[in-house]
Amino acid sequence: MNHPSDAISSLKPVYLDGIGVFGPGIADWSQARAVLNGSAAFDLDADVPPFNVADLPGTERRRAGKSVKLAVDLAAQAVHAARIDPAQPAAVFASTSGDTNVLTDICAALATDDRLISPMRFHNSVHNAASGYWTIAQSNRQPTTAVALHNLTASAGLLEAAIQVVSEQIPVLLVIYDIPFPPPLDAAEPIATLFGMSFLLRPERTEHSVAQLALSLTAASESPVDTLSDPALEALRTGVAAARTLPLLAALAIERNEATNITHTVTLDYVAPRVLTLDVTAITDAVDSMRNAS
Amino acid sequence: MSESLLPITPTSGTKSPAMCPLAISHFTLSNALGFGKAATLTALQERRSGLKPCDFLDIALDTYIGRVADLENLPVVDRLGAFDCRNNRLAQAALRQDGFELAVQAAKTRYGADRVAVIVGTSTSGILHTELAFRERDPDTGALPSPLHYRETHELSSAPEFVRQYFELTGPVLSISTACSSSAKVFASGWRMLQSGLCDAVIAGGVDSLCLTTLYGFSSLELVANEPCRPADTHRGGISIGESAGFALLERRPQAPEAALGLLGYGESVDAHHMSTPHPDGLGAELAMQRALDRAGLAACDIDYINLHGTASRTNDSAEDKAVSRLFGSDVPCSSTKGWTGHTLGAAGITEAIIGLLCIEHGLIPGSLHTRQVDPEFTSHIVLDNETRPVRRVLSNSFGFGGNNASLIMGQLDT
Repeated sequence: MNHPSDAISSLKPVYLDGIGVFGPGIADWSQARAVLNGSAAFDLDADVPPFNVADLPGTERRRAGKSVKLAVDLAAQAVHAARIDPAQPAAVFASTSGDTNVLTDICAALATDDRLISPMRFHNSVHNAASGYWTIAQSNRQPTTAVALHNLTASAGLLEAAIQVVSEQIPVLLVIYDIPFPPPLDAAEPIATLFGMSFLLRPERTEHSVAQLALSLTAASESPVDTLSDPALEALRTGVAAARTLPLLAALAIERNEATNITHTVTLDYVAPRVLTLDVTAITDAVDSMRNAS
Repeated sequence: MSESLLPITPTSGTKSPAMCPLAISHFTLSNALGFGKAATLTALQERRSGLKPCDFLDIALDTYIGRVADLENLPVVDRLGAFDCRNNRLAQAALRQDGFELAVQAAKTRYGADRVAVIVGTSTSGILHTELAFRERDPDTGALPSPLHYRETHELSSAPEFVRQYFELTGPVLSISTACSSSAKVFASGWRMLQSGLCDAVIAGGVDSLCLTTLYGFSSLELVANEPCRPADTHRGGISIGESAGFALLERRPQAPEAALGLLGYGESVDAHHMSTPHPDGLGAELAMQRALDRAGLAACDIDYINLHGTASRTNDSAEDKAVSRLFGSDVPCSSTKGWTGHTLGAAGITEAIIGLLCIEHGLIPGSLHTRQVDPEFTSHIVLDNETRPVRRVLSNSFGFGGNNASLIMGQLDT
């Protein structure tokens, strides 16, 4: 019954070159960083900033729903921060329920007498709508996938993206995003607010790498899931599947210098009785110059 | 244990690296042709379609569907009652065929419950459950019946989580939902998961079941035929929608030396063209097929049969023909089996991968059912009559909305 003692539970490390975050009162990584560092307050009910969907052509911008705009904003943040050609990376789009507005509209329309749904609403209902719009906008023909795992969607997306980076030795864009259901589905499936984050991950370190991430599956009994001390941020973490990565973002948000450049281990929830642990090692300019000198 | 499946050739440029084949040690399939893979094989051999005039619920659409009989009477096991919905009933019915349960139990015993992964593709999951609940909304408050069990029935990981709990596994789990390529891509993710070493076996599968969203949605796009679909035909008038569930057990070859069949290659791409219309010249489709050949280390002439995506929509079949013709010329026999099963959407990838495996096992090339006159514009070799001859390697295409493409190559494993 027991697996061999040399069974592998860790992935080869990957490098993080670009980060995007979007949510209430948060339009980008610098604003998220301020909130996670405690230098700015987080309010779950704060207004959501306007989406930056400059990357979408006009036609697609008109056709895209809210979740697509959120995902495209996040995708653009990560690739631009990583200074990578947007046509280059493969992509993993992770969301528990995708476009909850479109799903609700379709189910409501199908309960009426005429059952008419618009063609555009139908093609926007597929879970890979965001990846479709993004790749059209960027003329990107690399493999893209769209995944889900309910409250564990963020960990599942991280794992799938990291496995692609390691196995295929390619850069991978990871976008994790959720928007709330409108009534009446909000009662059955509460999603607290709109939130998302994005990473551009690479198999090798580049001059834009900000951290090294080493993922492992670990027994939950050995490593409890990280929580956040700020009640508003903790409510975000528990209230939105896409925000389950907040402890990881918090570790990345810590200001570092050479003296404090140590590895932080972050624990996120995964399929019980295991958790997803990430050894996060920041890459600072100081480390760069040391390595260059040696 | 830690032997890498990564090949010697490094990844460079745009060419996908060749890969070591993966063992497909067991597989099972259920759809409108019947429960278990023998039902599909027999129907293929007898050229008997599973498509019938639409008789699903109260849906009055002038179309043919591939409905699985008797799901209404096959609830999921009591202990997983919250998961009960048409989609998981179909998944469970498939799991119970072809000795698949025993094979999973053996893998679990051999490797450990945490070393068996579950990766399932679906397009619409159990949305029918929510669609029907909307008919029962409270007339005053608009509230849905409670509890809805949304997570267990409709959320996209409903089926993989059902499968995981059905077998009491604790390995990695994933739902892939990329429209009609969903359950082809499970093979790619499964291969990578095994290659990473995070598991020792993968239950890779797909399940999609009839629902109002797809029947009325494809009707709104005027993509649904009013007769059984006729792939590659001059007068093809659109798709017939079906439902299906299939599962394959993937293992590394050294740990499954008795396996005769395997996954030789996969290729993934997107069109970057349009949300619901394929690139007219099939550029993304060609890229997916080329990547699959590269990974398998094979040339076009090594493929004995191509199971086309072949939906019988005007644009898909035309674009796919161009892509296939550019890569394979007019020699490799091609056909679509959607005239038998209908287009099973998110389950099409696993359905046609398993049909490909059956074709290899039984030396069968199924001629495209319902196709009377091949579109004269087509230049690929569309087969109209069944042929019996040795088939060593099959390429299977699955293309979806969002321009999402996946091609798989299955084949005999050399001993």
